[in-house]
Amino acid sequence: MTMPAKIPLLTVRHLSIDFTLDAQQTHRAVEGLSFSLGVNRTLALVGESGSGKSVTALAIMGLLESSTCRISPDSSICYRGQELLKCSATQRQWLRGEEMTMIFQEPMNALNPVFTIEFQLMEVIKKHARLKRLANTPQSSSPSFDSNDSLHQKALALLSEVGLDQPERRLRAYPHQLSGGQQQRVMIAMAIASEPRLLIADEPTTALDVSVQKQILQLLAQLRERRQMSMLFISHDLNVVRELADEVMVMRQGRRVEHASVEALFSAPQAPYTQALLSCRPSVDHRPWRLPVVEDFLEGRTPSKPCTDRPLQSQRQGEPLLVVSHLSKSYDVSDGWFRRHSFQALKPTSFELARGKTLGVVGESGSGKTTLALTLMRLLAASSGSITLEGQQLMGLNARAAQRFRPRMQMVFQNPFASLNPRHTTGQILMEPLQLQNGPMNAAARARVAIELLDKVGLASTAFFKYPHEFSGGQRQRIAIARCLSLRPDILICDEAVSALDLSVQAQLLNLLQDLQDEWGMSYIFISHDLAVVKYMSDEVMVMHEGAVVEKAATDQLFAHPVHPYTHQLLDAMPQGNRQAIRHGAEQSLLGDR
Amino acid sequence: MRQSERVAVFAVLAPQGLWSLAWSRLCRDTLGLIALGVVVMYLAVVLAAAAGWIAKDWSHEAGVNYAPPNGWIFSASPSEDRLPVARESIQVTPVAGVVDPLAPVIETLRESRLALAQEPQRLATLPLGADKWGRDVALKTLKGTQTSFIVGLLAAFLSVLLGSLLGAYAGYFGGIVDDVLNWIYSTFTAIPYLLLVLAIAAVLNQKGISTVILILGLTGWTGVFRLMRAEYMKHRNREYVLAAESIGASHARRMFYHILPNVSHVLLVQLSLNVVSFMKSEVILSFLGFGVGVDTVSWGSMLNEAQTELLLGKWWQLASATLAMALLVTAFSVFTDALRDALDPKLK
Repeated sequence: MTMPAKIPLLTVRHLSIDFTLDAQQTHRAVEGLSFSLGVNRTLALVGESGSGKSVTALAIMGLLESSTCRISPDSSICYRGQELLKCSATQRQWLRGEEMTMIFQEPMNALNPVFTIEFQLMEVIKKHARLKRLANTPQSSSPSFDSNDSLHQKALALLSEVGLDQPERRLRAYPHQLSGGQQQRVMIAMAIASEPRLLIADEPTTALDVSVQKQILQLLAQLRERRQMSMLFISHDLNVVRELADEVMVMRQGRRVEHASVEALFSAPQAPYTQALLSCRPSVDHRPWRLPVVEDFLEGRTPSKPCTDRPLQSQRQGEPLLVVSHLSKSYDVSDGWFRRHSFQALKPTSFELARGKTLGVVGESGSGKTTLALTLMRLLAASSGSITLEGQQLMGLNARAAQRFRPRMQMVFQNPFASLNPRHTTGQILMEPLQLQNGPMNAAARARVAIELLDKVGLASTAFFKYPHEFSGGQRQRIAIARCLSLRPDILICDEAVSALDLSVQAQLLNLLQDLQDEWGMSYIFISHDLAVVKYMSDEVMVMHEGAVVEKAATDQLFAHPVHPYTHQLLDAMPQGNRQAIRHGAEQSLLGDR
Repeated sequence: MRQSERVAVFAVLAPQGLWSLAWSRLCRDTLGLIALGVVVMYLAVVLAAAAGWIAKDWSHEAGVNYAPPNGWIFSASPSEDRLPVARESIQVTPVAGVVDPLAPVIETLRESRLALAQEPQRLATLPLGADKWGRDVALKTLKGTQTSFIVGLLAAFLSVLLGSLLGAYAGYFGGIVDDVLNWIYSTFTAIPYLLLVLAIAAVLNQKGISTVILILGLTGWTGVFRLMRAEYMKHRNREYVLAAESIGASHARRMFYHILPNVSHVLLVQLSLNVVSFMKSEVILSFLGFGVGVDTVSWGSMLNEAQTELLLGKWWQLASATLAMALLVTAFSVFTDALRDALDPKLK
């Protein structure tokens, strides 16, 4: 490195960014943000949605749409002594390709689906080589990548470097033929192809499974070490950051809340908001009656440290509410014109659920969790097996008889932005189930019930007239829960119901679900990829892998003494803020590489 | 609880639903309101023409042949190449004792000749000029609005209704329903358009406005079908539809209460496109002899006449019909756009 280590690589001073909403209104996304990033350091920006962390990254990259947003004139972004905000567009572009690169959250969207990996990777390398010649840096002695063969070799080397197995085959593949983790590795390969000094990673692991997330984090730590890069790592998850970053900056509503070294931040968080973020997330170690929420900390209420943990619901005696046996779902997949084979999305699954209990279902994407939920709800026709609700066999009932059992089981869907009809008001959404199921009930009575339900899920009665898009994700999920409650179900299936939400909102909703269960005695089937959340909610946990249940046990037992190797693997991959593990892993692989 | 009671009462009393809200949103869209005003104006003209309040005597030859416009809206110098008309008449004195068998006939002819002389002189100029027979183009345009508006709008409604119903069923149910409907769609689109039109005209075996509407409606649904089928396939497995299914909503309710409002923008755009194209198709049909008869006037028939007139330099009939049509089509498109925006609660 030619730069003296003392001078920071990147300095941001008083950065303020406004978005124009319409002719009159603007929204301040980032307000007076200042920080610096040293050479060969990792700074993590942490915050919930709308905290301005991605906007900051885009501003540094110079990727903000100039028509809709304005960087205030007294802001400064200084990169190696050069003021970025005063650079010409060409200079910015050069820097963007050469000196700083970025990887995004959704690798599937960032890769072009109609070109092979090789084509896309070689394009980057070619561009880099051309820019390098144009700049005529002293390093031009490095071989020029003109011939296709050398380009190919270089691409191959990059793919090996990011740890893709069978790189030759991967080069010929199209993006959709790779898994999410492999795609993200390709994105990283593209990002490091130009040997950047600064790598900006915007939630690079959020869309990935836990075990893949761990591998990507290890890879990033290892690459940063080897390539002597600086990294700006953006995440909503403090635990992930803890394993990777040197410094952490916590942001909220466009402002800096706290900026400290990793050790200081995690051992003694100063700002109430940071404390809140750290304790909102359910921990694997204990399950309090209520999860603390951000408001508790911000309003200075000392979160009443719960001395007693919520006990696991004892297995009640008597008939179980729901008995599922050998439930399976398979699809016919055609290969070629006449041949078909069947793909089992859900292998024969059996379990029981007692009243007032929660069954957690854990698994990675593609493990058949959602198929299980949809089959239970009979939104998908099961291929075989039986579902028995209070002694009544549900499979094989005719449509009219089955309709009577619909209200008994309800489901909260994963995406609160997709599960509410955008053209209906909250009132219409909540009153519809009553209209469909409760027979003669006049409109006034339905409206009254709907407003009571809004109250129950913690929304003001004025929400009645609003449309779904006027609510935040958490509020929408509350409406979705209220819609289910209007039918007074015995069983509520929550399919990743809190996964799309911010940490603090997630805590509020988990509390709400617990309160409702205490009050109404509902049973939950709680599906999530997040082990900590499942541990907090469930009495019993079922681990799914490739469509089959691999392990089923009482929650504490499963977490303390996992039996199946896959459960072991899942538990190991959980981000626990174990810094040493990641660093150690990175060093190991570094040694291995040499 | 008091508060919630009040809201509950209000919820029942307040005019609920998409349309009242859409109307209040539309009221804020000036351009949309102007467009709506224009469309309503046309509708008023159609009703008045149908009731016979205006343009009743459009076929009356009020002006001289090819009377030019008088300059209110268009102006053109009156042409001087009119054919001379004989004005003198020969008086024949009757001979006594001779019975003229033709006398009563001649007498009636004379009377009618006198009546003709007492009639007001044909005008040399008219507001929008006159056609080949001296009929007032302004009145023709007004009367033509009736035919074209009704044909365009009703045929478009029919085609969009058919297309969206079939498309909704095909896309929503999939499987065998989709296969059968797709087969019908392919068959319809495989037959050349004019051949199809002639076939349907032959089956219906009568002329008139209702026939034109049926022909256009029955042939024009294919585009709407394709789009609606795709939209329904897309929305079929959206979470909000699954959620509706899990609270026990029937297929019809899911299709038309839940999904339809979310795909209505496609319908509105198709509707405005079809109105335009069907007004033009009516010209073709009339030209081929399957459209409205010669005793009815439409913008289509006016444009048809204008072809030959244009060669003689008489452009005003073409201009009038085109202007009337362009204004309606523009206003209708702007209005459907505004309606689409107003129906979307996400837009302010």
